[in-house]
Amino acid sequence: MPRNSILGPGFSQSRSPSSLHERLRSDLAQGFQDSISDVALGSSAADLVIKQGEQVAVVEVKTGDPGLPLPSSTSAQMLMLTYQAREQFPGKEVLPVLITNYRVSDDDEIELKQQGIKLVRVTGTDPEYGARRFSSHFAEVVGLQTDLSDKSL
Amino acid sequence: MYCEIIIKHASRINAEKLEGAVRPPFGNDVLVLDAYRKSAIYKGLVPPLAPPNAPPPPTSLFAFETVLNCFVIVRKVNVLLSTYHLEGNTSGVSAETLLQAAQEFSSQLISVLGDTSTCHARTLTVQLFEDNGRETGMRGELVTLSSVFLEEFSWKELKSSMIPFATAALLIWLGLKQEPIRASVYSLLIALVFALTQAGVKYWQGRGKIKWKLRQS
Repeated sequence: MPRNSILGPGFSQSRSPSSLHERLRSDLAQGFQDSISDVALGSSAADLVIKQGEQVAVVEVKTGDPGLPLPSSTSAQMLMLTYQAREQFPGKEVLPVLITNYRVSDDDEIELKQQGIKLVRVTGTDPEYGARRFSSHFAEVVGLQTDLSDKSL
Repeated sequence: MYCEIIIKHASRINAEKLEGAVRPPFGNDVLVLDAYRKSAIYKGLVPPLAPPNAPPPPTSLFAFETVLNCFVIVRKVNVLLSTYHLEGNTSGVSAETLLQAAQEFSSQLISVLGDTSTCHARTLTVQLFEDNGRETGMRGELVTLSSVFLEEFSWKELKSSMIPFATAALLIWLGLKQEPIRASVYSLLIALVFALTQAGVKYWQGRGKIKWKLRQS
């Protein structure tokens, strides 16, 4: 299994009517109470912004056909998001985070890493997946703390 | 809006092979930097719009003008895949024109690659993105013999043949060949059962959803 990867939600229609994109975003919002969905940042937009102390995580959820490679414009999109988040949150440390189910090549991973973009990979096959597990994994990769208590985990 | 076109090649390729195959036949070169300056998603990464001390923009192989007032940036090559960015020269190019340009450019590209001995295309996928890089959800694939074959063998296509098959099987089983009225009634009942079952399944799968359609002519 690729690094920074977590098994994602199953695709059963009966579990939830929403798309993978919406499920990931809503699950993450549950794990981080100080998060805001669909934040306009200049001409860009973040799926989720999580403020925690001096850090601001700017999250883009990019989902599509998992058999396709990561769109080649992703690094440009994430860079623009970072620039605009820095303007919007001066003095804060901006953490750009990409959550994706696309295939990420080694070259893509290196490019994202060089740009300081954290990568969280998901797949859509595990019915045991849940908001707590995903938020914990996300927090571990990004270096934030979830608002979910240890008891609930 | 812009499109990304992903070609899966029949064998491994590299940047030199692809450039040799694609660049001369298309011609109309433009500098990659100029193409970035015209692009909604890349223009913020290059001067004069890039912030001070910004890292260099992502690298691309080459760029050229194409049909319907659009341009192409040949973005990258990775083992079996090559990726192309297609966008309008101005924001006045509509999504409909862009999709038409994607169709025409893809046809030309497949033909150009087919003329080479090393860069044959196996599959082609097009995705449409918003100016800020987000997916629109619109995606297209090249029509191939295998895709048509699989489509024809799907339940959607086979179900129309199932009604006469089930009718014939039932009539033979009941021995009703000589009773045309009863045979007709049975045939009608089978068609009704199929239609009702299908309507039920379709409604269950699509309840609460909007059915979008793409105008194609």
